[in-house]
Amino acid sequence: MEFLLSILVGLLFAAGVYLLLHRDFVKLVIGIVIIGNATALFIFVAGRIVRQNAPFIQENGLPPENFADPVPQALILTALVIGFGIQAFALIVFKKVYDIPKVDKIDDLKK
Amino acid sequence: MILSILSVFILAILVPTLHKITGNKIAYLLSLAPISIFIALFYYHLNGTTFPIRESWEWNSYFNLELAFYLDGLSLLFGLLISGIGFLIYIYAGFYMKNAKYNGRFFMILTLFMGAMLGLVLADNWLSILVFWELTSITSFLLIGHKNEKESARYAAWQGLLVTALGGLALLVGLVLTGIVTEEYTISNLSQHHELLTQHTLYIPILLCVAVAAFTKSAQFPFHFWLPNAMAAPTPVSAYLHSATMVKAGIYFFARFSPILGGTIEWQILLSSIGGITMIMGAIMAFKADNIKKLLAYSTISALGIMTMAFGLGTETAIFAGTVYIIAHALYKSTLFMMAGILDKQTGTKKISEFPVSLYKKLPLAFAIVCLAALSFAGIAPFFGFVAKELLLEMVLHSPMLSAVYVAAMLITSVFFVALLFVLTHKAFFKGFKKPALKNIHKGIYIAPAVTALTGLVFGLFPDVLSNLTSLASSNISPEFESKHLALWHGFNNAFYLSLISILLGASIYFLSLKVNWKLKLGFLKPLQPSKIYDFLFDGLITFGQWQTRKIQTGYLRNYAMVTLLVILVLTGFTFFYKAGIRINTESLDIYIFELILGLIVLIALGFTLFTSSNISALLSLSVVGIAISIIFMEAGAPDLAITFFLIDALTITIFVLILHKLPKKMLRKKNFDRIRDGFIAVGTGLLVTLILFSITYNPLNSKLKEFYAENSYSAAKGKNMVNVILVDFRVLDTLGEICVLAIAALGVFALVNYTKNKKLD
Repeated sequence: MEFLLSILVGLLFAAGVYLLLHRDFVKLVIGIVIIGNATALFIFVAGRIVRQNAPFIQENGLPPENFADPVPQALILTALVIGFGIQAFALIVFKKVYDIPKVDKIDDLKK
Repeated sequence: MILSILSVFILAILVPTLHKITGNKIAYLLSLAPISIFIALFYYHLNGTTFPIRESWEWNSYFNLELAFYLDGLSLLFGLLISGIGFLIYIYAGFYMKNAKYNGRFFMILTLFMGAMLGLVLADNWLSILVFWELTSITSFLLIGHKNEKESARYAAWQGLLVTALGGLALLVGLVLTGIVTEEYTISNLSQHHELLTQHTLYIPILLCVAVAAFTKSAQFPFHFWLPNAMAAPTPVSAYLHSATMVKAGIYFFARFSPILGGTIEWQILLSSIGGITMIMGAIMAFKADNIKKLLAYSTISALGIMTMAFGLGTETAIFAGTVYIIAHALYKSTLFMMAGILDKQTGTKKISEFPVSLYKKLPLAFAIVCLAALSFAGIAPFFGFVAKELLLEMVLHSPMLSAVYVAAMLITSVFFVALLFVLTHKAFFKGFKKPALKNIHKGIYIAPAVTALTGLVFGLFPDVLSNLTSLASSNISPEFESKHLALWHGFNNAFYLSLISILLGASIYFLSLKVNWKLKLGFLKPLQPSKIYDFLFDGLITFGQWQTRKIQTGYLRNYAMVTLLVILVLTGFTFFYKAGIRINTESLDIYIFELILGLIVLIALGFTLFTSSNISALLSLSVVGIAISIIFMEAGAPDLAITFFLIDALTITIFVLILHKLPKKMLRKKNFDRIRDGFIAVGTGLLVTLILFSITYNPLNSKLKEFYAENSYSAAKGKNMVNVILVDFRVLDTLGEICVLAIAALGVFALVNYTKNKKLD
C-alpha cells in the first residue's frame, strides 16, 4: 500500500505546488490546503502502514499483534489542527485584503 | 599599557559631556591624555627599562584569544610619535576648531582614533591587531567625513573606508593563514617561525595579503588614490593622519613583519618595486598639484613609498634609514600640514596660485616655520631631514641588487622634493597674484607647528639623541642589527654628492617650470587610473545591487514561493540522487482494488480542482479529496486521524464558502508560459517527493517508541487508545502548545472579522 500512497502524496504535492504558484487567490489558498494534506500523508506513509489494525490496547490489557504506529498519528493530529488554524487565519486575512478598495488581485498589493 | 589605552577610550566616550561643560577648552583638557602617555613612554625609554614589556589578559585560550600588549623598541617609537604629535595636534585643533560646529563629536572621534592607533602599535594578539586596525579605518572614515554636509567629504570618506577595509580583509586572511601555518597567534612570537613561514607553500599568499593590507593603509600604488581625497578632513586630522598615524600603520606593519616574513627575494621585489613606483609617482604628482593640501598629500604618498622601499630592501642601513625617516617625516609633515591650515584660514584659499602678493611680509612667522619644515622636507642641512636623506642615499648606494635603479629612483624623488621646497617657500610666499585680504587669527595656533619645526632643527643639530631609540627600534625589525650612531656630518662621500646634485637639479626644475608651462600628455592613461577603476567598481556594485534587488525582491508572493521551491528542489534533489538513489520496495506493491479506486477518485478530484475555472466546483472537488484521504486514514489503521481530518476538511470548506461571495467572481488564469514553467516545478516536486518516499519505505522501520507506548500506555496512563494517550498524557505539553496556537489564530480571526474602518472612525 505504501507504493500507491507514495504516488498519491507526490500527486498531491504537485497539485499543491502548481496552485501555490497561481495568480488567483482562491486557488492559492486551495494550494496551501492541499500541501498541508500532502504533508500529513507524507509523514503517515514514512511511518509505515499497517492495514486496519488501529493502535488500541485490547480488552485483556495487551496490544494487538501487529498494529499501526501511534507516533506519526499523534504528530499528524497536532499538525492538522495547527494547519487548520493557519488556513482559517489566511482565509480571513485575504478576505480583509479584498475589502480594501482597488485591490482585486494579489498582485495589486504590490502597489 | 592596558590601562592607558583603556583610559583613552573611556575619555573618548566622556568627550561630549565634557564638551558641554568646558566648551572650546576641551582640546587642551584632552591633550593631557596623549602628553601623559608620551611622558610615560619616554620615562620607560630613559629609565633603561629592559624591553620588551608584555602585558596580557587571557580571554579564551582554546581560540588563542587574549588581550595582549607588547612594548618593544618599534612600538615605543610609534607610540612616542602618536602620543607626541597627538598632543600637539590637540593644541593646534583647539585653536583651529574654535567655535566650529559639532566640536564634541569631532574631538570624541579624534580621541577614539588616537586610542585605536595606540592600540594597533601595541597589540600583540592577532585578533586585537585586527580589531584596532578596523577601528582606525572606521574612525578615520568618520574624521574624513566630518564635514558631512559636503558631498566631496562623504565621497572621500567612503573611498578611504572601502580601500582600507579591503586591506583589513586581506590582513584577516593573511593572519589566519599565518596562524594555520605556524599555530602561533601571538605576533611577537611569530619571528621564531621565520624559516617555516618563508619556506611554506602558503608563503606567497600570506605575503600578498599582509602587503596588500599595508599598501592600502599606507596609500601605496595602486591604492594611493584615497589619500589625496582624504584631505577633505579638517586640517588637524589631515596633519595627524599624514604624519604620525593611519598611513604610518602600514609602514608599522612592514617593520613588524620584516623579521617574520622578510628577507626573501619575493619580499624585496614586491616592496621595493611598489615603494619605488609610489615614491616617484607621488613626487611628480605633488609637483603638479596646486592645492597646497593636495601637494602635501602626494608628497606623503611619496615619502611612504620611500619607507616601503627601505623596509623592502631590508639591509641594516635600509632599516636604520627607514626608521630615522619615519621620525623626520612625522616632524616636517605635521608642521607643513598645520601651516597649510593656518594659511588657508588667513588667506581663505588653499590654492598656491591664489595666494596674495608678498605673503612673507604679511606673515613672517608663518614663512619662518614653513621654511624650517620645508628645508627638512627637502633634506637640507642642518635639519633632521638631511640626516635621514643621507642615510637613504647611503641605503640605495649599498642596496643588494640593482643599485643603479634604486639610486636613480631615489635621486628623482629627492630632486622633486627640492623642487617642492621652492614651491612651498618661493612660490607660496614671494610670487602671489592677488591683493592681500588677510583674516586675523589667534597667534596661539602657531605654537604646535613651531614646536614640531624646531624639534626637527634640534634633532638635525644633535641627531645623536635619537641614536638609542632608532637603534632599538631597528633591532626589533632586524634581529642582527647592531646599534648605530646618528650624525649630521658624514664627510664628503657619495651620498653627499648625490644630495648636492639633487638640490641643483631640483632648483633648476622649479625655476624652469615657472617659465615653461609643460604638461604631461597622459590623457590616454585616464581610464586606467586606479581612482577611475575604483569609481567603476563602486558604481558597478551599486547598479548590480539595484538590479539584483529588483530581480529577487519582486514583491509577488508566487515568485518568492517559486524561488523557495526551486532551491528545495535542487538541493534536496541533488542530495537525494547523490547519496541515496532510487529504490523501490516490491513488497509494498500489494494493492487492493478498493484502494486503487480511492486513489483514482483522489486523482480525478485533484485534476478537477486544478483546472476548473469555477470557485465553487474547485472547493467541492477539494472536499472530495479530503474525504478520500480520510477514508485512506481509516483503512490504514488511523481512525482518530480519519475523524479529525474529516472534521477539519469540512470546517475549512465551510469557512471558505462563507467568504466566497465576498471574493471576486472572475477567476484569473495563468499565462501559457507560466503554466508550462509551474507545471515543470510542480511535476518535479511531486516526483521527488514520491521517490523520496519510495526510498524511505525501502527498509522496514524498527521503532522502539511503538513498543514503549504499547507497554506503557495502559499500565502507566490508563488509556487504551495509544494515540490519545500520547496526545493528552505523554506529550501533553505539545498539545498545550497546539491549543495555544489555535487560540491565537482564533483571536486573530475574531479580531479581523470584527474590525472595520467605519468602526474606527466612530
